[in-house]
Amino acid sequence: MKHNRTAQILWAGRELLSHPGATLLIALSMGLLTTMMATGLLLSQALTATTNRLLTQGPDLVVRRVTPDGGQPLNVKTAAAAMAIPGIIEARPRIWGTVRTPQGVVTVVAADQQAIQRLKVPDAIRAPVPGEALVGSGVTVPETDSRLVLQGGTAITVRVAQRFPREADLVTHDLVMLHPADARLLLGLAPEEACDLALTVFHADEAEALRPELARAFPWPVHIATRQDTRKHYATSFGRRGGLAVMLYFPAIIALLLLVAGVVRQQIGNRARVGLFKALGWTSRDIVALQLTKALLVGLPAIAGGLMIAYGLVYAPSQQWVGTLLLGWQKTSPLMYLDTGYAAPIFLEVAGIVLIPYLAAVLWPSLVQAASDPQDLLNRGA
Amino acid sequence: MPTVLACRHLAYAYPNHAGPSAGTPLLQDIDAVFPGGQVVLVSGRSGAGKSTLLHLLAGLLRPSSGEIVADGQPVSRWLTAHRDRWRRRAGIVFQQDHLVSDLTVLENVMLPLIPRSGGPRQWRACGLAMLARLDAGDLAPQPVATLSGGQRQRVAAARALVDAPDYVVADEPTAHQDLDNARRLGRLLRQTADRGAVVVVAAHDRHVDEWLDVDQHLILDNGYLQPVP
Repeated sequence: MKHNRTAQILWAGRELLSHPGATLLIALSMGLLTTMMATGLLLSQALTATTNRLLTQGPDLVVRRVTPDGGQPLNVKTAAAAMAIPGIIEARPRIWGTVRTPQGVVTVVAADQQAIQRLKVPDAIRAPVPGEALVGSGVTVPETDSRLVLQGGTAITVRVAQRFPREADLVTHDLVMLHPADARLLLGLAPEEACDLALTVFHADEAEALRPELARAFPWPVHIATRQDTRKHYATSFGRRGGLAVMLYFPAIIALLLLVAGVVRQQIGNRARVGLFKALGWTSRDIVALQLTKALLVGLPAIAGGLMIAYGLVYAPSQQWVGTLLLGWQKTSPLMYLDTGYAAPIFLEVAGIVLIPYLAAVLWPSLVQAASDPQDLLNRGA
Repeated sequence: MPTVLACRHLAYAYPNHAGPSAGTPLLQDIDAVFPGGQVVLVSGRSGAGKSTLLHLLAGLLRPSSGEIVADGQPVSRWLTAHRDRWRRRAGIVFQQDHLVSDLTVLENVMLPLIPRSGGPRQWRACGLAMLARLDAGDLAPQPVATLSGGQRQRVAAARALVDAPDYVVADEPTAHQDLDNARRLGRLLRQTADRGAVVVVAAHDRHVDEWLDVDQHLILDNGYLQPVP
């Protein structure tokens, strides 16, 4: 007769079912621990990956005219001064600003079809025509009326014709895109004026080196921001709140220690059973294999379940809490970008952090007991 | 080589953690041979050390001195892993049955078979056959908590014998049995010995000859094991 591994697993399952309450409690604890740890780490990773992905769609450099009083519009023709610098391949004057609506403050951006294409949104999305707006999911309008009242230097009313997809929510959540003429009117800009210049360089790595030359190219003081500066801004902003999520890790570690202590106690309390099994002809190896199988039957599904829940909490389209926790959004949340190169190690790390101490807690008492005489275990467990 | 179990200058004293009894010698200088094919009865008053002797013979305890020899091998001196493997060849009926309360009768009887070979179907068939031989087949699906003392002992005996062991030690296996069931168990132990196994039974029942066909009768008194003339 051959040794039947499946039969051993079935028996381990039967043993677990003889204590369904304890088994369920351990599985739930492990699943919850895994969820807590993985959610914090996945969220931190997802924010970084999503931000990086969105920033790659933005300009390499942004030039803004500054005065002692703050920002100042610049003439669109000054783009030629930037284009004269070797290495800069595109200079786009941008029109944007923050304005009020009855529901709150929104960011207004003027866009033509080229700008829309640059955002890599679905083809169905068209640049707004005069009198129309393309808005993010956080911009609300009355249900009975798709008109949006915007209050800038001048008040204008536009019709919400389209909405951005949620994939772009991290940058378009409160965004209102208008036709350039509407945007200039709203922000009080003259026809030849823009708010800043967005520059694209031939080698992205050279953006930093172009700063001094750019500063000299304009007849007035400028503020120059690289993509790296923008990334730092986002990282600081998200990192502060994302750190809260990572802090879930510490109570989870304490809970893990408590779980390990409970499992060790349970295993030590099990010594009479181990003694009996040894007396009935089970070898130390059989007992350790049984305990290991039982531990894996509980631990692996619990950890897999915990990881799936964590994944759902961070990446599922219906999740709400990320936006609420990190950005203060009430209704929708951004869709997070999954970078498998980072997420897979997180899954493995969390699975290892939870599973290894649990297995040690199960196996260590079993190994100690396995080395004892059966009658000794029976007497001490009685 | 025929199966044989022997004690050589065997002694056992309570270990240090045994409280007031620590260090008290229970068994002293025991030399005995338990040949295969024979049923050996060990009797003696309560507390004489019969259970301890059986536990030593079954490899559940290590002697304080001397040794247990099985088929010429000093099994009591072996390392744990080797003793574990040897113990697979032994079946034991405990005085306090030691049934697993959260398993059914059949599952208790199947326990010695599980780490060995085969699968649930074979374990089940072997377990049911052995229970039937002890007239306990109808108890198979019941939880052990619902059994009477006599039923529990029959289940414990079935568990000890289910894997056809080469060495059987039975500690007061009929203490709660009626005579019919005691005779049924006695016949089964006889059949076990007849196929060449060593069978050692401890009992202080004066009417043991009514249910057990004994080949050799030893008495344990003051720590010494002596043949009954």
